[in-house]
This record gives sequence, structure tokens and C-alpha cells, in this order.
Amino acid sequence: MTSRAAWQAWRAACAVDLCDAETAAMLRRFGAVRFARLLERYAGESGGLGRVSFAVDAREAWHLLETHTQVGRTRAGKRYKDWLFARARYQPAEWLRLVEAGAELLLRDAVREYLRREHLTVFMESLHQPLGDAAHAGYTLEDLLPSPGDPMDELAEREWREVARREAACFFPTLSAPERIGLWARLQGFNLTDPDVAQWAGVAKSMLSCTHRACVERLCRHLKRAYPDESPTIWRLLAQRTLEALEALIGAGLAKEKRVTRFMKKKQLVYPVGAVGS
Amino acid sequence: MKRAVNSGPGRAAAERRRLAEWLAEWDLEQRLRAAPAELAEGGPRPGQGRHPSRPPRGDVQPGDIRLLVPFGPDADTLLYMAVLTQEADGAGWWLPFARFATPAVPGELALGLRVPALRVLCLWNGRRVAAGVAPASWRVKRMTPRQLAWTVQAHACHLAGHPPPPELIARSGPPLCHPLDPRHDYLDAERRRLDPYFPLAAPAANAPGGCYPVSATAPPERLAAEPRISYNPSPTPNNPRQHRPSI
Repeated sequence: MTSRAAWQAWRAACAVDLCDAETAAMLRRFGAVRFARLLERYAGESGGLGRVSFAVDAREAWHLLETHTQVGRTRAGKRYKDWLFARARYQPAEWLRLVEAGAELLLRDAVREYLRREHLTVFMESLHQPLGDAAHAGYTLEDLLPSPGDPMDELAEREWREVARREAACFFPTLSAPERIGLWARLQGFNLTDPDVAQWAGVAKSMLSCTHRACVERLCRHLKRAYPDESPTIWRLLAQRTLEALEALIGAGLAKEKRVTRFMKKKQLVYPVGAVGS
Repeated sequence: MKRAVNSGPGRAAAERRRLAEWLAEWDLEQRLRAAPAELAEGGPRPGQGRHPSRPPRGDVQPGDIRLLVPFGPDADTLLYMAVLTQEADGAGWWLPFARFATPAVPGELALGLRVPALRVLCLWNGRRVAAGVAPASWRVKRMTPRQLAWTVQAHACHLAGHPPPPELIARSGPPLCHPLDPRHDYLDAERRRLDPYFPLAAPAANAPGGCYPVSATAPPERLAAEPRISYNPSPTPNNPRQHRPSI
């Protein structure tokens, strides 16, 4: 398909555009045929993409090879030609075949880059899409990525929630009615100076805030005594989790609180799911 | 507001994107790589073939980017390498450039060069080459002083087993976590690609790829909900044992 003279003329001229017309046509035809063969191989392997048109003419195929492979416009940047010729010198009797094979290897890299730029849709990649490689077909992108947090953190979180539930169960019986109502109302987002909340709790609105604060401080002191070796961060975390657990316990027994029905009617609320009376 | 990519959700999204890009290009490579008969040649093994008649030009200097002379007709890719250092005894670190556009693992660094062959440098696959045994090569380019300093710094971090500086994390590949990740195949293939050229220089001892923890400041390991060891294990009124969690 090509000749030794054509390759040597191309090497001397730096680019195919600087070669004579016959040499340029020969090399471009070679490039186009090999380029098309590689695209057919990709299209066949990729299944559904077989119908996509990969319209690349002879001039463009060779141009892709030259631009992808060079590292600069100087002679030093085109040492890949020396590489092609050096590779063929090991078997002088097969020189032309080895040069053509080497050129196709370089063209394969150019085709990969062309397909990567022009035909990949990575921005639509799904985390749950199976990997394309048949050897790893059972895995998805999500499987290969590190989890957002350390798995030990997730385990620790579950452990701390269980601790908080136990602490809440122990602390709950020690709460007075104003304390229970204050905790529940604050966690639900009500303002403790709301007259309706204060009326429900049966205390002055100024007292409800103090009652609530004192209750939370009591809980924190208890947790610090129970876990003296933990850090302030852990105490804060445990206090948050325990208050959440207390909210659930209070909500479950909400119907037993005095004056709750009036409060619910005033606020147009329904009992929390799971609460007695819901 | 500038999106932070070195921490939290920004970093996770960037890692996800880089991994997806790399996997897509790897998939392209596998589909194109079904080698026809004329491309696979059985020729002289490394070290047995005759070197090309034209010798490589110029002395090797730190900062050089060099194209290795093919070891034989089996050579199937261009192999560009960056020369990082030249020590007093003449030895130096040579680092290969990757074939793909996206760094595959944390031990690969995107340099920001637009030349396709020189986009990503493989810190993990560097070879320490003794004086006088450097492979035959052509100089094709020179790194700028800033690029060289950057690369030397990143390589030093890699050899020490430390994460790269924060400004380079965004240029590195995503962590390698799963034992069946295709990147393991890629790392093996890249090591094999260099072995014919450096038969006496093995890669650096520390593991490639996922040698960096997911968190750059990984906390020390602690068992979940386990109290720290107390110097006073005896229960006291202020330290009721009954509230201690057990695993």
C-alpha cells in the first residue's frame, strides 16, 4: 500500500502537507483505511454505536495522527518518526511492514483520543451503570468509589444512637411536665415564649425558657458524668442524639399530657404518628 | 463563590468525574486493542536486539522529557519519560507519562500540558536509574522550572507516602479502593510496559494508586463507641459503669 520512499520522504519533510502530491496521497490513503478499520472495530465492539457515522476523510485521518503524536512543532517534537524507523531496524527484511504496523499503533492512540473527545458522554455517566468492561460487568461506578465517610464512622454513628436511646429511656422518667413540654415544643420548632405553649405547660412563658434550659443542662451534666473520658465533641453529639430520642418518647406519650388537646386545636396540629391517641 | 474541590462534596464529585472519565477511556482502549496479526511481532527480546544505528542525542539533564528508543519491534507505544533529578553519583529518577488523558490513581498527576502524550505523569511508576545505564532516548522537550519543581515536590510526597500538597490533590487521580477495580489491570500493564527498558530498576517500594487515605487527615482508628482506656478502671460514684456502652 505504501513504499519505503514515501515514508522516508515524509520523515524528511516533517509533515505530509510538505510532501509531493503522490507521497501525500499514498500516506493519507493508508491513514484513512487504517483509521476506518479502527473505528469499525470500535463500533462493532460497542454494539449500539455501530450506527453512528464516523465521517473522517483521508486528509483528516492523517492530520489526527500527526497532531496527536507530536509534542512540538520542532524537529525534537517529532521524534516519534525516529521511533517508527528505529522500531523497524530490528528486522530490516520486514522494514516496510513494521513501519506500517507502527504507524497503525500510533493511529490507534489518535483514534482513542478522537473518540474520547467526540463521542464519549461522561457527563451523563450514572453511578449505578454497570461498567462496560466485560471482566468487571458486575460492578458499577459507585462500587469503585470510596464511600463518602469512613465506614467506621457509620458504625460509630449507629452505636451512639443506641447509646442515646438508652440514655433517653433512663432520663425520661426524671422529667417534669413543663420539662417534657418545653423539650418537645423546642424540638418541634415552637417558640418557648409562645403564650399557647406556656399555657399548655402550665407555667409563665418566662419560666418555660428557664425550665427548658435547666433541663438541657441537667442532661449534659449527666452525660459528662456518665462518659467522662469522651471529648466535648462526643458529648455534644450524644446530647443531640439523646434529645432526639427524648422527642420520640415524649411524642409517643403526648396524648397523656394535660391540656394537650386544647393546644393541638389552637395550633391546628395532629398527633405525631405513633403517639397514643393518634 | 468558588467551589471547593479539595474537600467535602466538591472533592467527591471531582473524584467521581475523574474516575468515570478514566474508565471510559480505558474501555475505549480495550475495544481498540484487539491486535491484528500484523501488529504483534515476535522479535528479539529486550537486551538481545541490536540498537538502532543512530545514537540518542545530548546529555540527560533534570527537567528533560525524553522519548525512549524502542527496545525492539514488540514496542507498541511511545514511551515518554520525565527526568526529575540527577544525584551526585549520577543516578536519577525517571518518571513515565501515562497513555490516558485523566490521572488514574492518586499517584498520577495531571501536569496541565496540552500535548496529548504529556498530560499525565506517573509518579508511582518512577524508576531510579544508576549512572551509565540510562536507556537510549531522544530529548523532545524541557519542563519549565515551575513544572519541574512541582513534579519533584509531588514525587517526594509520593515516595514518603504522604498525600500531595492540597493544590495538587485536584490534579491527582481518585483513590483505588475496590480489589476488582480495572485500574489494577492498568497498573500491572504499565509496570510491564517499562520493564523491558529498566531491567535493573524496579518501581519504588511504596504501593501505587490508593496509598493515600480517602481523607487527607485520616483520624486514628477507634472502635465504635468504645471509651478510652482509663487509668482508674474502678467504678466510682461519678463514673457509673452501668452506662458504659459495650460492643
